[in-house]
Amino acid sequence: MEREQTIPRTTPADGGPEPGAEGLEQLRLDSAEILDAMDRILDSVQVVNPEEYLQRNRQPGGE
Amino acid sequence: MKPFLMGSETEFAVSGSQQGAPLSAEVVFRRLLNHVCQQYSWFPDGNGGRSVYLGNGGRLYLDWNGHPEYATPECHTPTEVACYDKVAERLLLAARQADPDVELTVLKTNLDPVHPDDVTWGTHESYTCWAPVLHAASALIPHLVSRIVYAGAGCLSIHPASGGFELSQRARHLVRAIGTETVRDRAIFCHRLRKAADSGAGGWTRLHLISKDSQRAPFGTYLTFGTTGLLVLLLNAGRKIGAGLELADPVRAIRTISCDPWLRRARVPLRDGRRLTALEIQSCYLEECEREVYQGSFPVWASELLRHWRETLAALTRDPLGLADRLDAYCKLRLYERALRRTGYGWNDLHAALGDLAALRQHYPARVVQAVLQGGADPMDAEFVAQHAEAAIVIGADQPGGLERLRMASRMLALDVHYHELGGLYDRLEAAGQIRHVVLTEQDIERAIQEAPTGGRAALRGKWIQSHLRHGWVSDWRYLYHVPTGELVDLRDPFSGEAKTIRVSAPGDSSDPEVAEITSRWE
Repeated sequence: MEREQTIPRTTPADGGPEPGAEGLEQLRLDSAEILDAMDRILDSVQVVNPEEYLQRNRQPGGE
Repeated sequence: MKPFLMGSETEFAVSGSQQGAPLSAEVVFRRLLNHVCQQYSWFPDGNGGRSVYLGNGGRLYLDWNGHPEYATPECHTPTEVACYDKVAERLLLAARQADPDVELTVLKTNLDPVHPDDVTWGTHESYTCWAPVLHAASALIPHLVSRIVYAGAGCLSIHPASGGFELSQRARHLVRAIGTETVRDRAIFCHRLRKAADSGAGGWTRLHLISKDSQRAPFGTYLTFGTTGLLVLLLNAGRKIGAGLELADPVRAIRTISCDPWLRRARVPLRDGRRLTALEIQSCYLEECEREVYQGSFPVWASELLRHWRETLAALTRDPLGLADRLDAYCKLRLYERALRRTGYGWNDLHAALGDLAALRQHYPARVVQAVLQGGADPMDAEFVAQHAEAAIVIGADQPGGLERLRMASRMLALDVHYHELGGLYDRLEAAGQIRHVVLTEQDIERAIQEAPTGGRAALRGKWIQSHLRHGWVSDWRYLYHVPTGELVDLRDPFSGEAKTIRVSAPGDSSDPEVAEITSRWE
């Protein structure tokens, strides 16, 4: 038996993975503290040359 | 209740350099292994190769394609699996940091950073199964497909339906519902039986599943092994599960679900014509388990698992980002959303730019891609100059904002890889209090680095390795053998915690053909 989803939920900024309504940012990004922490982390992981980092980590895979 | 064990094997991608010169993966592994062996007790693998069994009962080894792999000891609970899985990260992270003159990168991921559709690493699951394997397959496949809502590690994606992000790294590499291959033609339900250790007395087999993502957040590992382990326990007890949930096309279903990270739109067709969401399929399994567990005799961990399972599905129904502090995919979604907003881009921009970057890489050498992203500053020979000019035009890097958009995509991809680097983004989030282990404590992990799980042959192996430090011992999963004296500990029964020690007077001198064979080979 199918159940329809009725609970309103948050959506990403501009559509993207799931197009949806704007203006629900505060529901999703739930506190200024989390945002600050994420900003600090994002600031701390700036990769100088991202493409070089990606290429350097190429490997033949496994299993 | 029939005896039951579970565990995982995880492959790690490695790279390294010393004074600017790149090191091969095998050299990187040797450095990592040397450090682990200096810190902890171990026995060499009797079967040779670069492989050791550790005092915590697990195994660290060089896998066939030149990368490290870690197998947990045989575990009894999903908390133990999550704990010993985390131990592998801790061992390799400490080893990576041991030598400041060498720069090593260790990734716990399933996707190659540059060619994610072509190259993959695995995390395999093992469960003791007493039911007929093909019966288990039909019962479990809808679960294996739908569990990616909490078992997926998440990744950026160029898949047209994904909008730029997928729940599962492995979904794109699964091409059939049932099969035995692990290197190609990978199946959602793998039923490979390869070694003597894969089956045993009384009719059990080792279910060896390969569809799982490599998870960093231990709560995801716990849930993945807990739900799947509990379903196998039900099958072992003769219960019927998953009836009526057979999917019309499991491979298409797992990809559809993977491309719906916000869990809002994906409904997958069942054989009976219904279309259910992943959460609805999971809810059906949960209800089956709740009915059975509360009526029957199941391990203590089952009740707690059911509570976490129920709460997780409810939270995912409300808002997946509510689990950003404990499940990798949603942790990434929240962080990447933030990263995009900080730079003024949205998911649509990222999705398009990821596609452009993938096209660029498909048609041009790495050097040209680098040059395009750097604005063509590097001196190149005539051929590369021409390619660079062409590539820049084709990809729109010469258009206003075009180059910045490509650079943003490259940065986001690097962020997505960095999440899986030991000591990288995930660990920073954890250190900043943004990840909750939920079911594990730091003390659990510290203890598991040193000690094996209680009970079963893992406990015997671990204790034996820690207490027999004299030269000449070798090991595999099923035996411990002291070559100089012929003392042999038979661990063929994985469920037994009782040491069966025999003495072989000379290599090969045993009426037991297997003992004769291994003592000859390990001489």
